Amino acid sequence: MRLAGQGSVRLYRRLLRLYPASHRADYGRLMSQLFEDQLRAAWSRGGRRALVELWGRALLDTAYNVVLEHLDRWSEPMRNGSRLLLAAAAAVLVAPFTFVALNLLQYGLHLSIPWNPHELLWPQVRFTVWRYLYDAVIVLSAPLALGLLFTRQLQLRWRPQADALAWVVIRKGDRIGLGLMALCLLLIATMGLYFIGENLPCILGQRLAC
Amino acid sequence: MPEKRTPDTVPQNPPSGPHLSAAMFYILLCLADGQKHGYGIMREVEQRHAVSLGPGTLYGAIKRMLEAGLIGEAEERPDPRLDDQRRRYYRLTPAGHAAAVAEAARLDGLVSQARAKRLLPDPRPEPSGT
Repeated sequence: MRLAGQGSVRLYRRLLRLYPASHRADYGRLMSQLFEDQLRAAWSRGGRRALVELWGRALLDTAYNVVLEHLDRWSEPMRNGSRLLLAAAAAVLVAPFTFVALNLLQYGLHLSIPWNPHELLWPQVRFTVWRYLYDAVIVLSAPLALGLLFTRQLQLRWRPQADALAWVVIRKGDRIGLGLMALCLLLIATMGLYFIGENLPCILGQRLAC
Repeated sequence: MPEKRTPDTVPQNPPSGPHLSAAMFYILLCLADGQKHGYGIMREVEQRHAVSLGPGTLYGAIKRMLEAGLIGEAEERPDPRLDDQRRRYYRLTPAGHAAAVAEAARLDGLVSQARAKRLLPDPRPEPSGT
C-alpha cells in the first residue's frame, strides 16, 4: 500500500493544481490530507479494488469541482464590482439630472441661467460633433445608468445540486440603488414627455419645420 | 387520538430556509452535535446517509458555508495527544443552526405532503378498532 499510496497522493496533489490558486492556498493541504485518509480507509476496506473505486470518484469530484470553483472565482469580481457599478451609475446620472433640473429652472420657473450650449455656443459656430455628443449624453445617460444599476442587482449563483449549474438571481435592492433606479425612470419619463411634447406637432403633421 | 393529516391540514406553504445544497445540509446535520474536522464530517455522512463526499465537494461546501457564516472554525481544539494538529475543526454558528432548522422544516413539510398524497405510509396508523 505504501508505494501505491504515495504515488496516489502525489498524483492527487498534481490534480489539485487545476483548482484556482486562491482555493488551493486555502484548502489544498486539507483536501490532500482528506484524500490520504480516504486512501488509507479504502485500502484497509477493500484493497486495490477499493483504491480503483476511490480514484474513479476522486476524478469525477475533481473534474466537477474544478469547473465550479473557477466559475465561482469569475463571479467574484461581479460581486465586488457592486459599489463600482453604483458609483458609475451615479456619475453617469449627473449629466441628465443637471440638464433636466436646469431646464425646469429656466423654462418652468423662468430663471435666466446661461447654461445651454445650444444657445450659447452653437448658434455662432457649428460644432456638429460636439452637438451630437451632447445630445447623445443627455438622451442615453439615464438608460445607461438604469442598465448599470440593474446589472448590479443581478447575481450569479452556482447550485451544483440543483437542476441547473448556475442561474441569475435578482437581489433585493438597497435604498441607494433603488432610489437611483427611481431617479433614472423619472428622468427617462421627463425627457420622454418633453420629446413627445416638442415633436408631437411634427408627428401629427401640424408643423412643417421641425 | 392523534390528528389525522388530510390534504387540508397539510401546511400549504412549508417554511422555506436559505438555499442549501444537499452537501451543505449533510454538513450542518453532522455539526449539529459538536465540532468536527473534514474527515470526521466525511465519515459521518458516509456512515449515516450512505453518501460519499469527495474532498472537492466537501471543502467547496465548507468554503461557501464559512463565507455565508453558517459554520465557523472552532477555536478550541481537542487534546493534542489525541488529535492531528494539522486538521481544522468546524462548528455550527447560530445562523447555521437556524438554516438547518429551516431546511429540516422545509423537508418535513415536503414529507407531510407526500404522506397526504399517499406516496408514503402514515407513521401513526389509526387503530383498527378490534
